[in-house]
Amino acid sequence: MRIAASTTRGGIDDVITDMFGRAPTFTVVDVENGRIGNYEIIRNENAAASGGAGIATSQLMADRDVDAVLTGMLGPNAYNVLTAAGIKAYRASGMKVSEAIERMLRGELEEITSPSGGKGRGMGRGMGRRL
Amino acid sequence: MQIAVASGKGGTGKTTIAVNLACFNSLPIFDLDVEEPNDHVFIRGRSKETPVFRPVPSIDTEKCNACGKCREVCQYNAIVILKDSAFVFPEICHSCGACSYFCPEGAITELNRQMGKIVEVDGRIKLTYGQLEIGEASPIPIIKEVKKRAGKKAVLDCPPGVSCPMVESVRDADTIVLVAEPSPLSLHDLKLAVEVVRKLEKPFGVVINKHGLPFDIESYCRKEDIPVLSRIPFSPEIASAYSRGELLSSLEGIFEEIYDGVRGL
Repeated sequence: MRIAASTTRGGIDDVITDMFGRAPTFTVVDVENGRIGNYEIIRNENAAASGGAGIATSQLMADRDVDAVLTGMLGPNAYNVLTAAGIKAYRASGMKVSEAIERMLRGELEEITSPSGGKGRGMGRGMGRRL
Repeated sequence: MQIAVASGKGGTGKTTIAVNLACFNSLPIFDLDVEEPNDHVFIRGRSKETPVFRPVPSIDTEKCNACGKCREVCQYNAIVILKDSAFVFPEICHSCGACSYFCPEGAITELNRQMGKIVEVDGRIKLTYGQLEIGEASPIPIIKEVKKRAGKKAVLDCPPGVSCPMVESVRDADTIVLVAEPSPLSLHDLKLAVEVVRKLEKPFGVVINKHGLPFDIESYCRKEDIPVLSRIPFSPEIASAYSRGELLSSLEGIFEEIYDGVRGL
Protein backbone atom coordinates (compact mmCIF):
# COMPACT_ATOMS: atom_id res chain seq x y z
CA MET A 1 0.00 0.00 0.00
CA ARG A 2 1.29 3.45 -0.91
CA ILE A 3 0.43 6.47 1.22
CA ALA A 4 1.17 10.12 0.32
CA ALA A 5 1.23 12.81 3.00
CA SER A 6 1.13 16.55 2.17
CA THR A 7 4.24 18.01 3.80
CA THR A 8 6.41 21.09 3.91
CA ARG A 9 10.04 19.98 3.72
CA GLY A 10 9.09 16.33 3.51
CA GLY A 11 10.21 13.27 5.41
CA ILE A 12 8.80 10.78 7.85
CA ASP A 13 9.19 13.21 10.78
CA ASP A 14 7.71 16.23 9.01
CA VAL A 15 4.29 17.55 9.99
CA ILE A 16 1.34 17.10 7.62
CA THR A 17 0.05 20.35 6.10
CA ASP A 18 -3.50 21.61 5.91
CA MET A 19 -3.09 22.35 2.18
CA PHE A 20 -3.35 19.61 -0.40
CA GLY A 21 -3.08 21.08 -3.90
CA ARG A 22 -0.50 23.65 -2.90
CA ALA A 23 1.51 21.57 -0.44
CA PRO A 24 5.22 22.18 -1.15
CA THR A 25 6.11 18.46 -1.02
CA PHE A 26 4.57 15.03 -0.65
CA THR A 27 6.12 12.30 1.42
CA VAL A 28 5.21 9.06 -0.35
CA VAL A 29 5.53 6.05 1.93
CA ASP A 30 5.28 2.37 1.03
CA VAL A 31 3.65 0.32 3.77
CA GLU A 32 4.30 -3.40 3.69
CA ASN A 33 2.71 -5.88 6.08
CA GLY A 34 1.51 -3.05 8.27
CA ARG A 35 5.00 -1.55 8.63
CA ILE A 36 6.49 1.64 7.26
CA GLY A 37 8.93 0.77 4.50
CA ASN A 38 10.75 2.98 1.99
CA TYR A 39 9.70 6.54 1.45
CA GLU A 40 10.36 9.20 -1.12
CA ILE A 41 9.96 13.00 -0.96
CA ILE A 42 8.53 14.51 -4.11
CA ARG A 43 8.39 18.21 -4.83
CA ASN A 44 4.94 19.42 -5.77
CA GLU A 45 5.43 21.47 -8.91
CA ASN A 46 1.76 22.51 -8.74
CA ALA A 47 2.23 24.46 -5.51
CA ALA A 48 2.57 27.70 -7.47
CA ALA A 49 0.13 26.95 -10.30
CA SER A 50 -2.08 29.90 -11.21
CA GLY A 51 -5.12 27.64 -11.20
CA GLY A 52 -6.17 24.02 -11.05
CA ALA A 53 -3.53 23.09 -8.43
CA GLY A 54 -5.89 20.65 -6.70
CA ILE A 55 -6.65 18.90 -10.00
CA ALA A 56 -3.00 18.63 -11.03
CA THR A 57 -1.87 17.44 -7.60
CA SER A 58 -4.60 14.78 -7.58
CA GLN A 59 -3.34 13.69 -10.99
CA LEU A 60 0.16 13.43 -9.50
CA MET A 61 -1.22 11.10 -6.81
CA ALA A 62 -2.88 8.92 -9.46
CA ASP A 63 0.29 8.87 -11.57
CA ARG A 64 2.31 7.71 -8.54
CA ASP A 65 -0.16 4.87 -7.86
CA VAL A 66 -0.98 6.26 -4.44
CA ASP A 67 -3.71 4.36 -2.52
CA ALA A 68 -4.36 6.90 0.23
CA VAL A 69 -3.66 10.57 0.91
CA LEU A 70 -3.07 12.13 4.33
CA THR A 71 -3.81 15.85 4.37
CA GLY A 72 -6.01 18.59 5.82
CA MET A 73 -8.41 20.18 3.39
CA LEU A 74 -9.52 19.04 -0.04
CA GLY A 75 -11.28 21.39 -2.46
CA PRO A 76 -14.12 20.03 -4.57
CA ASN A 77 -12.03 19.50 -7.72
CA ALA A 78 -9.28 17.65 -5.88
CA TYR A 79 -11.87 15.61 -3.98
CA ASN A 80 -13.64 14.58 -7.19
CA VAL A 81 -10.44 13.59 -9.01
CA LEU A 82 -9.20 11.53 -6.05
CA THR A 83 -12.58 9.84 -5.71
CA ALA A 84 -12.72 9.05 -9.43
CA ALA A 85 -9.19 7.65 -9.21
CA GLY A 86 -10.19 5.45 -6.25
CA ILE A 87 -7.79 7.17 -3.85
CA LYS A 88 -8.97 7.56 -0.27
CA ALA A 89 -8.14 10.66 1.77
CA TYR A 90 -7.75 11.00 5.53
CA ARG A 91 -7.65 14.06 7.73
CA ALA A 92 -4.25 14.24 9.42
CA SER A 93 -3.02 17.84 9.34
CA GLY A 94 -0.77 18.75 12.25
CA MET A 95 0.36 15.14 12.83
CA LYS A 96 3.81 13.76 12.13
CA VAL A 97 3.83 11.59 8.99
CA SER A 98 4.96 8.45 10.87
CA GLU A 99 2.40 8.97 13.62
CA ALA A 100 -0.43 9.60 11.12
CA ILE A 101 0.38 6.44 9.16
CA GLU A 102 0.35 4.34 12.33
CA ARG A 103 -2.97 5.85 13.36
CA MET A 104 -4.39 5.31 9.90
CA LEU A 105 -3.37 1.64 9.97
CA ARG A 106 -5.13 1.30 13.34
CA GLY A 107 -8.26 2.84 11.78
CA GLU A 108 -8.07 5.92 13.97
CA LEU A 109 -8.10 8.61 11.26
CA GLU A 110 -11.21 10.31 9.93
CA GLU A 111 -11.76 9.60 6.24
CA ILE A 112 -12.53 12.71 4.16
CA THR A 113 -15.87 11.93 2.53
CA SER A 114 -16.83 15.37 1.24
CA PRO A 115 -14.92 18.38 -0.05
CA SER A 116 -14.22 21.33 2.23
CA GLY A 117 -16.89 24.03 1.99
CA GLY A 118 -16.91 26.24 -1.08
CA LYS A 119 -13.79 26.07 -3.12
CA GLY A 120 -10.39 24.85 -2.10
CA ARG A 121 -7.78 27.06 -0.53
CA GLY A 122 -6.17 27.67 -3.87
CA MET A 123 -5.70 30.94 -5.68
CA GLY A 124 -7.75 29.75 -8.63
CA ARG A 125 -11.47 29.61 -8.89
CA GLY A 126 -12.09 25.89 -8.85
CA MET A 127 -15.74 25.38 -8.03
CA GLY A 128 -15.73 21.65 -8.43
CA ARG A 129 -17.53 19.24 -10.68
CA ARG A 130 -18.29 15.55 -10.63
CA LEU A 131 -16.36 13.24 -12.89
CA MET B 1 -14.48 59.58 -27.21
CA GLN B 2 -14.52 56.42 -25.11
CA ILE B 3 -14.15 57.25 -21.42
CA ALA B 4 -13.15 54.39 -19.12
CA VAL B 5 -14.05 54.77 -15.44
CA ALA B 6 -11.70 52.68 -13.30
CA SER B 7 -10.35 52.82 -9.76
CA GLY B 8 -8.08 50.15 -8.41
CA LYS B 9 -9.90 49.76 -5.11
CA GLY B 10 -13.47 48.52 -5.34
CA GLY B 11 -16.28 50.53 -3.78
CA THR B 12 -14.79 53.96 -4.41
CA GLY B 13 -17.69 54.96 -6.66
CA LYS B 14 -16.98 53.81 -10.22
CA THR B 15 -20.61 52.99 -10.88
CA THR B 16 -21.86 56.23 -9.32
CA ILE B 17 -19.51 58.30 -11.46
CA ALA B 18 -19.94 56.26 -14.65
CA VAL B 19 -23.75 56.11 -14.56
CA ASN B 20 -24.26 59.76 -13.69
CA LEU B 21 -21.58 60.92 -16.13
CA ALA B 22 -23.30 58.96 -18.91
CA CYS B 23 -26.86 59.98 -18.04
CA PHE B 24 -26.28 63.71 -17.57
CA ASN B 25 -24.30 63.92 -20.80
CA SER B 26 -26.51 61.55 -22.83
CA LEU B 27 -23.77 59.04 -23.56
CA PRO B 28 -24.30 55.28 -24.01
CA ILE B 29 -22.82 53.26 -21.15
CA PHE B 30 -21.12 49.85 -21.15
CA ASP B 31 -20.81 47.90 -17.91
CA LEU B 32 -17.61 45.87 -18.21
CA ASP B 33 -17.68 44.68 -14.59
CA VAL B 34 -19.10 41.41 -15.91
CA GLU B 35 -18.53 39.50 -12.70
CA GLU B 36 -20.85 41.83 -10.82
CA PRO B 37 -22.59 44.22 -13.21
CA ASN B 38 -24.91 46.72 -11.52
CA ASP B 39 -25.44 49.66 -13.88
CA HIS B 40 -28.83 48.14 -14.73
CA VAL B 41 -29.97 48.97 -11.21
CA PHE B 42 -29.85 52.64 -12.28
CA ILE B 43 -30.75 52.36 -15.94
CA ARG B 44 -33.94 50.42 -16.36
CA GLY B 45 -35.96 49.61 -19.43
CA ARG B 46 -36.77 46.95 -21.96
CA SER B 47 -33.86 44.55 -22.33
CA LYS B 48 -32.58 42.09 -24.90
CA GLU B 49 -30.24 39.21 -24.04
CA THR B 50 -27.67 37.49 -26.28
CA PRO B 51 -25.80 34.42 -25.03
CA VAL B 52 -21.99 34.30 -25.30
CA PHE B 53 -20.27 30.99 -25.93
CA ARG B 54 -16.72 29.73 -25.80
CA PRO B 55 -15.23 26.47 -27.06
CA VAL B 56 -14.30 23.76 -24.53
CA PRO B 57 -12.97 20.28 -25.31
CA SER B 58 -15.19 17.26 -25.34
CA ILE B 59 -13.51 13.85 -25.18
CA ASP B 60 -14.65 10.93 -27.32
CA THR B 61 -13.99 8.13 -24.82
CA GLU B 62 -14.12 5.54 -27.62
CA LYS B 63 -11.17 7.16 -29.41
CA CYS B 64 -9.23 8.37 -26.32
CA ASN B 65 -6.43 5.99 -25.32
CA ALA B 66 -5.36 8.06 -22.28
CA CYS B 67 -1.97 8.93 -23.82
CA GLY B 68 -1.86 12.15 -21.81
CA LYS B 69 -0.83 14.55 -24.59
CA CYS B 70 -3.79 16.86 -23.91
CA ARG B 71 -2.96 17.05 -20.23
CA GLU B 72 0.67 17.77 -21.04
CA VAL B 73 -0.15 20.73 -23.31
CA CYS B 74 -2.87 22.18 -21.05
CA GLN B 75 -1.37 25.16 -19.22
CA TYR B 76 -4.35 25.48 -16.89
CA ASN B 77 -4.57 22.00 -15.34
CA ALA B 78 -8.03 21.63 -16.83
CA ILE B 79 -7.57 17.99 -17.93
CA VAL B 80 -6.86 14.85 -15.92
CA ILE B 81 -6.11 11.35 -17.15
CA LEU B 82 -7.66 8.63 -15.02
CA LYS B 83 -7.63 4.94 -15.83
CA ASP B 84 -8.43 4.82 -19.55
CA SER B 85 -9.65 8.26 -20.52
CA ALA B 86 -9.21 12.01 -20.21
CA PHE B 87 -11.61 14.20 -18.20
CA VAL B 88 -12.12 17.93 -18.64
CA PHE B 89 -12.82 20.65 -16.08
CA PRO B 90 -14.55 23.17 -18.37
CA GLU B 91 -14.71 25.97 -15.77
CA ILE B 92 -10.92 25.97 -15.53
CA CYS B 93 -10.35 25.61 -19.30
CA HIS B 94 -9.24 28.86 -21.00
CA SER B 95 -10.41 27.78 -24.49
CA CYS B 96 -6.92 27.93 -25.97
CA GLY B 97 -7.57 24.89 -28.20
CA ALA B 98 -4.17 23.27 -27.63
CA CYS B 99 -5.62 19.92 -26.48
CA SER B 100 -7.73 19.33 -29.58
CA TYR B 101 -4.89 20.53 -31.84
CA PHE B 102 -2.36 18.12 -30.36
CA CYS B 103 -4.57 15.06 -29.71
CA PRO B 104 -2.96 12.28 -31.81
CA GLU B 105 -6.16 10.22 -31.81
CA GLY B 106 -8.50 12.99 -32.97
CA ALA B 107 -10.55 12.25 -29.86
CA ILE B 108 -11.19 15.87 -28.90
CA THR B 109 -13.84 18.09 -30.44
CA GLU B 110 -14.64 21.58 -29.26
CA LEU B 111 -18.17 22.24 -28.09
CA ASN B 112 -19.69 25.61 -27.36
CA ARG B 113 -20.30 26.26 -23.72
CA GLN B 114 -22.34 29.26 -22.61
CA MET B 115 -20.05 31.41 -20.49
CA GLY B 116 -22.37 34.34 -20.02
CA LYS B 117 -24.57 36.81 -21.82
CA ILE B 118 -24.75 40.33 -23.16
CA VAL B 119 -27.76 42.39 -22.12
CA GLU B 120 -28.84 45.57 -23.92
CA VAL B 121 -31.20 47.89 -22.05
CA ASP B 122 -33.21 50.69 -23.66
CA GLY B 123 -33.45 53.05 -20.74
CA ARG B 124 -32.96 56.75 -20.18
CA ILE B 125 -29.73 56.10 -22.06
CA LYS B 126 -28.60 52.94 -23.85
CA LEU B 127 -26.93 50.46 -21.48
CA THR B 128 -25.02 47.37 -22.60
CA TYR B 129 -23.63 45.01 -20.02
CA GLY B 130 -22.03 41.61 -19.80
CA GLN B 131 -22.79 38.97 -17.24
CA LEU B 132 -20.38 36.09 -16.61
CA GLU B 133 -21.78 32.70 -15.55
CA ILE B 134 -20.93 31.71 -11.99
CA GLY B 135 -17.90 29.41 -11.89
CA GLU B 136 -16.32 30.64 -15.13
CA ALA B 137 -12.61 31.34 -14.72
CA SER B 138 -12.05 34.29 -17.02
CA PRO B 139 -14.22 37.34 -17.67
CA ILE B 140 -12.04 38.57 -20.56
CA PRO B 141 -14.02 37.06 -23.49
CA ILE B 142 -17.25 38.68 -22.26
CA ILE B 143 -15.53 42.03 -21.68
CA LYS B 144 -14.29 41.87 -25.29
CA GLU B 145 -17.80 41.07 -26.54
CA VAL B 146 -19.28 44.06 -24.71
CA LYS B 147 -16.50 46.36 -25.97
CA LYS B 148 -17.22 45.32 -29.58
CA ARG B 149 -20.61 47.01 -29.22
CA ALA B 150 -19.19 50.34 -28.05
CA GLY B 151 -19.00 53.11 -30.64
CA LYS B 152 -17.02 56.33 -30.70
CA LYS B 153 -18.92 57.91 -27.82
CA ALA B 154 -19.13 55.71 -24.76
CA VAL B 155 -18.67 55.52 -21.02
CA LEU B 156 -17.05 52.24 -19.94
CA ASP B 157 -17.72 51.21 -16.33
CA CYS B 158 -14.68 49.05 -15.57
CA PRO B 159 -14.11 46.24 -13.06
CA PRO B 160 -12.07 46.98 -9.91
CA GLY B 161 -8.45 45.97 -9.46
CA VAL B 162 -5.51 46.41 -11.80
CA SER B 163 -5.22 42.90 -13.22
CA CYS B 164 -6.32 41.48 -16.60
CA PRO B 165 -10.05 42.41 -16.44
CA MET B 166 -9.26 46.06 -15.66
CA VAL B 167 -6.47 46.25 -18.25
CA GLU B 168 -8.71 44.72 -20.93
CA SER B 169 -11.43 47.22 -20.04
CA VAL B 170 -9.31 50.36 -20.25
CA ARG B 171 -6.77 49.46 -22.95
CA ASP B 172 -8.79 50.68 -25.95
CA ALA B 173 -10.36 53.71 -24.27
CA ASP B 174 -9.38 57.23 -25.35
CA THR B 175 -9.17 58.54 -21.82
CA ILE B 176 -9.45 57.22 -18.30
CA VAL B 177 -11.14 58.55 -15.18
CA LEU B 178 -9.78 57.05 -11.97
CA VAL B 179 -12.20 57.26 -9.06
CA ALA B 180 -10.59 57.53 -5.63
CA GLU B 181 -11.82 58.18 -2.11
CA PRO B 182 -9.87 59.73 0.75
CA SER B 183 -8.74 56.52 2.44
CA PRO B 184 -5.35 54.79 2.79
CA LEU B 185 -6.57 51.72 0.88
CA SER B 186 -7.87 53.78 -2.01
CA LEU B 187 -4.61 55.74 -2.19
CA HIS B 188 -2.63 52.52 -2.23
CA ASP B 189 -4.69 51.11 -5.11
CA LEU B 190 -4.83 54.45 -6.93
CA LYS B 191 -1.03 54.38 -7.14
CA LEU B 192 -1.22 50.93 -8.75
CA ALA B 193 -3.91 52.09 -11.19
CA VAL B 194 -1.82 55.15 -12.12
CA GLU B 195 1.11 52.83 -12.89
CA VAL B 196 -1.11 50.82 -15.24
CA VAL B 197 -2.61 53.76 -17.14
CA ARG B 198 0.79 55.43 -17.48
CA LYS B 199 2.14 52.23 -19.02
CA LEU B 200 -0.78 52.28 -21.44
CA GLU B 201 0.09 55.92 -22.21
CA LYS B 202 -3.49 57.12 -21.84
CA PRO B 203 -4.58 60.58 -20.74
CA PHE B 204 -6.23 60.33 -17.33
CA GLY B 205 -7.58 62.31 -14.42
CA VAL B 206 -8.90 61.59 -10.94
CA VAL B 207 -12.35 62.15 -9.48
CA ILE B 208 -12.36 62.27 -5.69
CA ASN B 209 -15.50 60.66 -4.34
CA LYS B 210 -16.61 60.95 -0.70
CA HIS B 211 -14.69 64.22 -0.55
CA GLY B 212 -14.49 65.47 3.03
CA LEU B 213 -13.43 62.20 4.67
CA PRO B 214 -10.44 62.93 6.91
CA PHE B 215 -7.62 61.58 4.78
CA ASP B 216 -5.35 63.40 2.38
CA ILE B 217 -5.32 61.88 -1.09
CA GLU B 218 -4.84 65.08 -3.07
CA SER B 219 -1.23 65.71 -2.07
CA TYR B 220 -0.34 62.58 -3.99
CA CYS B 221 -2.22 63.83 -7.08
CA ARG B 222 -0.47 67.21 -6.89
CA LYS B 223 2.93 65.61 -6.41
CA GLU B 224 2.36 63.33 -9.41
CA ASP B 225 0.87 66.14 -11.47
CA ILE B 226 -2.43 64.29 -11.91
CA PRO B 227 -5.42 66.53 -12.63
CA VAL B 228 -8.31 66.28 -10.16
CA LEU B 229 -11.39 66.59 -12.37
CA SER B 230 -13.95 66.96 -9.62
CA ARG B 231 -14.86 66.24 -6.02
CA ILE B 232 -18.12 64.52 -5.04
CA PRO B 233 -18.99 65.42 -1.44
CA PHE B 234 -19.25 62.72 1.23
CA SER B 235 -22.92 62.75 2.12
CA PRO B 236 -25.52 60.33 3.47
CA GLU B 237 -28.03 61.69 0.92
CA ILE B 238 -25.86 60.49 -1.97
CA ALA B 239 -25.42 57.05 -0.42
CA SER B 240 -29.12 56.86 0.22
CA ALA B 241 -30.03 57.83 -3.37
CA TYR B 242 -27.53 55.25 -4.66
CA SER B 243 -29.09 52.54 -2.49
CA ARG B 244 -32.49 53.31 -4.06
CA GLY B 245 -31.07 53.10 -7.58
CA GLU B 246 -31.52 56.83 -8.21
CA LEU B 247 -29.39 59.28 -10.16
CA LEU B 248 -27.79 62.24 -8.38
CA SER B 249 -29.92 64.93 -10.04
CA SER B 250 -28.80 67.60 -7.57
CA LEU B 251 -25.22 67.12 -8.77
CA GLU B 252 -26.00 67.27 -12.50
CA GLY B 253 -23.66 70.25 -12.91
CA ILE B 254 -20.73 68.33 -11.42
CA PHE B 255 -21.12 65.56 -14.00
CA GLU B 256 -21.24 68.05 -16.87
CA GLU B 257 -18.07 69.58 -15.43
CA ILE B 258 -16.39 66.15 -15.28
CA TYR B 259 -17.27 65.56 -18.96
CA ASP B 260 -15.78 68.94 -19.89
CA GLY B 261 -12.71 68.15 -17.82
CA VAL B 262 -12.26 64.75 -19.45
CA ARG B 263 -12.44 66.25 -22.94
CA GLY B 264 -9.75 68.72 -21.95
CA LEU B 265 -7.26 66.06 -20.80
